[in-house]
Amino acid sequence: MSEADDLRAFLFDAVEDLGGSISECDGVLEVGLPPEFSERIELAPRFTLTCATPAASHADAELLAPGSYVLERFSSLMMRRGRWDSARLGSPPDDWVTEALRAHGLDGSCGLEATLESLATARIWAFTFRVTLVADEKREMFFAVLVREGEASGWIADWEPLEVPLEPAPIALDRERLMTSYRIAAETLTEHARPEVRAFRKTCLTLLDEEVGRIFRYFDRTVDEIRQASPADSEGLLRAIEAERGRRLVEAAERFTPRAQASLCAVRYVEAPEALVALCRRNSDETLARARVDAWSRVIRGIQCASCNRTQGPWRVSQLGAVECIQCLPMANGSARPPSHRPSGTHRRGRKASQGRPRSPRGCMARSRAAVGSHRHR
Amino acid sequence: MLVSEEAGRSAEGHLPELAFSEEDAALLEIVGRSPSDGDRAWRLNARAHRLSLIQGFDRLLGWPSLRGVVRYDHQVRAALRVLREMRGRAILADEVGLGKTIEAGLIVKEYVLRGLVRTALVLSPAALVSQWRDELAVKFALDFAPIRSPEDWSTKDFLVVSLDTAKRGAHRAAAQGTPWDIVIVDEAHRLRNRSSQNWKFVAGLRKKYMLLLTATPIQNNMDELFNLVSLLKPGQLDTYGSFLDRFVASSDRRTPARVTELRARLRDVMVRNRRGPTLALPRRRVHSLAVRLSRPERVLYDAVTEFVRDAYGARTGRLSLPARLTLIVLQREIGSSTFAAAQTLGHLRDSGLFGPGERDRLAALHEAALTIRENSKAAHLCTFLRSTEEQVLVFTQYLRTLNYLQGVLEAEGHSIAAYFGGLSAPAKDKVVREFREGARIFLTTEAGGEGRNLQFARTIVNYDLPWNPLRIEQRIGRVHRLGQEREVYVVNLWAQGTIEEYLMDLLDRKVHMFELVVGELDMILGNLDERRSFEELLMDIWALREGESRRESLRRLGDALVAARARYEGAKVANEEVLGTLSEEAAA
Repeated sequence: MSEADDLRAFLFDAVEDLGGSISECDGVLEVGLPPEFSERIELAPRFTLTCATPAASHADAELLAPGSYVLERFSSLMMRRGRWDSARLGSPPDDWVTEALRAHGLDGSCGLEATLESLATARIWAFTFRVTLVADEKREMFFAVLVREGEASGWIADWEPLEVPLEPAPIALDRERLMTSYRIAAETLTEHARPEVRAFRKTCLTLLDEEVGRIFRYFDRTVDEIRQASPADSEGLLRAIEAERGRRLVEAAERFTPRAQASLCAVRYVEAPEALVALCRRNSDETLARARVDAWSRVIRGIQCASCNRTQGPWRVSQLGAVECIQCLPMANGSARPPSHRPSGTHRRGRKASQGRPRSPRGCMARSRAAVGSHRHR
Repeated sequence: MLVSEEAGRSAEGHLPELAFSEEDAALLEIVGRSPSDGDRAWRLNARAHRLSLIQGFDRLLGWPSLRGVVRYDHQVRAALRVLREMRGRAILADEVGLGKTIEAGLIVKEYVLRGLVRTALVLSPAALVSQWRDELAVKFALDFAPIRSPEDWSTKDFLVVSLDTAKRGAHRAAAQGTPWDIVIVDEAHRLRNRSSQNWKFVAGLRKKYMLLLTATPIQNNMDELFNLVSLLKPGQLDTYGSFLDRFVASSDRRTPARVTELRARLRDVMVRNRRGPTLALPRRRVHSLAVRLSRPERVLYDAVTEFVRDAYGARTGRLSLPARLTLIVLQREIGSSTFAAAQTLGHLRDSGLFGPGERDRLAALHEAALTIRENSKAAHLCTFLRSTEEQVLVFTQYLRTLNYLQGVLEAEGHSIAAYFGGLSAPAKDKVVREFREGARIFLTTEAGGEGRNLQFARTIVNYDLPWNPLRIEQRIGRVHRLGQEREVYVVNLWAQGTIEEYLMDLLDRKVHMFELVVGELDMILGNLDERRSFEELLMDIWALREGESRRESLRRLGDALVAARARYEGAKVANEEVLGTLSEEAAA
């Protein structure tokens, strides 16, 4: 979908959610809002909108576009609403496990076969965060971090599966579990955003370094020139120059000091079916890994790349029979990693970073298939 | 902070990598305790966030919310270059009339929308303060306040103030004690002298971003360029000594050396668009029609002028400031129409501003004004309108004159779109639409459709002449602007033997203002007198009792204007020699 389509869909859904009405005629949208919301949104109860630059005949129609007033008003209201929810994914499609595995490369084509070992209901906390990197410019990112109750780490979810409508469900809130899940989510996000944050910080500090260097060079040499020109009566001038240098250094620090902030946007508690699957090579009984996948986020958890330790797919099986992420697989066995693909800095809870090697190619959840009498699920 | 310290600290240093907002706790607190807005609201919340993410300066977000700003590529390029490459510190040195103000507005708007600017200061010449304020409000929806007292520095986040005011006394300390996200200096060639109060004041401001606007960074010699660039980015042109050695060829410091290398260095801090073929404006054709006032109008005008001179010349002590200002208004009104002056004469008669003798004079003048039912200029206007089939913008300063003209012109059978400040926003839209859809005459006060695109018309009539020449230029600028493809006609109706004759003498015959490109007049008037506006200088002359004194003062002011124009022309040549085209894309 194009950005314009996204905006339009957002508007239609937002108006419907607020109990308003919307109709279209000649490219102009006429919007009606209930008075309680039109006041909160600071727009008239009825107004016209257009998604294109207003034509002469529609000069009164407000423009819906990035940066436009009306979009800002709607976004602002929507950000104040929907800040928490509890829901249930009642009946996913029958083939959801197969589809989830296929989406991560874990179908027959990669030489792996999956066996469903058990199905359960997972209690998942979803936390959405807005991450802002700011110095003299600003960059923002948005993440949905999911944490399954009972697990020690969370995961970053793609947005598309989370858009599926869910049924409302009551929640018996355990505040301690909520806070624990939030802490795990925050740690997960910190780890995930670290490369981006560090790159931003490095850029800013390089700029600061250049600026400070230039300021010192300029003022030091200016002072030298003044001393050489009139050594006797230059003290007042030199004091003024030093004061100016101080101001410029303060300005440079204010401009280029990087800040990285995450703010929680919304929280959701979701009960969703979850499958535990065993993965083994085709025509082999040896289990390479065990993975969990829930029907809501569809993220495969519990597999770790044998080469880089990353926990995100898509996955493939190497010639040596290990499960590797697709980014490691194209490299010849034993060769260097691509420069852009560094080892994951992730260390599991309760384990020091130095304890991460060596790993079993079977992954952290591997256990004997004999121990779990299971049926094969391709 | 809710996150464990280990997670929040980098492995390399002690700066927190990602700080979590303290407001997270408040949100976690409502979970399960307040009613949920439901499934869709949760998803809409996320979509709203995702749609509003900022990704550096990937594009200009401000466009959809601007009003009456025509999109020109050179302005978009300039804004993006300043935002991306110059990181908000730049000299905007476009040639006159290419929209430096618009570029500055675009840049500020982008910073504001991204939350990077929360405090902003515009420093402009005194005569342009209200123009800046209006333009930023109307076109960019940025509400800049003027300075009324030193307390405003700490209570208002967006200020526009004259450089002259800001650098003085209590204002200076307050301005320099405030951290500014952005400082914009208009007519920044006033900062050319490093030892001047202007330069020192701006250097002493604490600012994150800074824009210096000037079409002529060099007024006299190369020192000025060095001082301006050093204010923005010290060291960009090396130290002063190195700069002289490397980039200056003559002892009078007027001749540049190594121009190619100098321009390369300037490119990092300066944007300079030049008027190429695509940005050339069509010619202006000016017809100034002298109007002889009727006998009753003449008598009334002279009597009102006599009253104003008597009272104005009485000096302070006797006449309060409001009374003096009211007299200036009265003199302006009688130059517009007898209808405009009549009401003010009545008010003055009933006010307590004047003594009994003066009140009697005012009563007589009021009676005389009421008896005049027709004004000579209106007849000339009708004659002109009969001579053309063009759509015409007719400007007047006063609503009462507008009302009178509306009656006269409707009686002549013209369709009128009447536009004035008191109309609501939808009513203004409607009036502009009526004109666009074929109404013959756009009859307007100074509100004049600022920010509206009226270039489909090309003829304007100045029914009266504002004493501030920039107002006249703004009127012309409604149709003579980028986007206008046809010759523009300017018709001035001026009354003989009135202050309008002085205006025509100074502005038309001495400065040739009607031949200037939009924006050049600012430069010339800026060279005239830093402290007093042209209007004040004009009123001082008009208020002189002796005719010979008036003529002599008028001659001196005319000479000063001619000299100011010559200085501007000289600076234009010098800047062209040094700056030329800074980059290939700059000539549009």
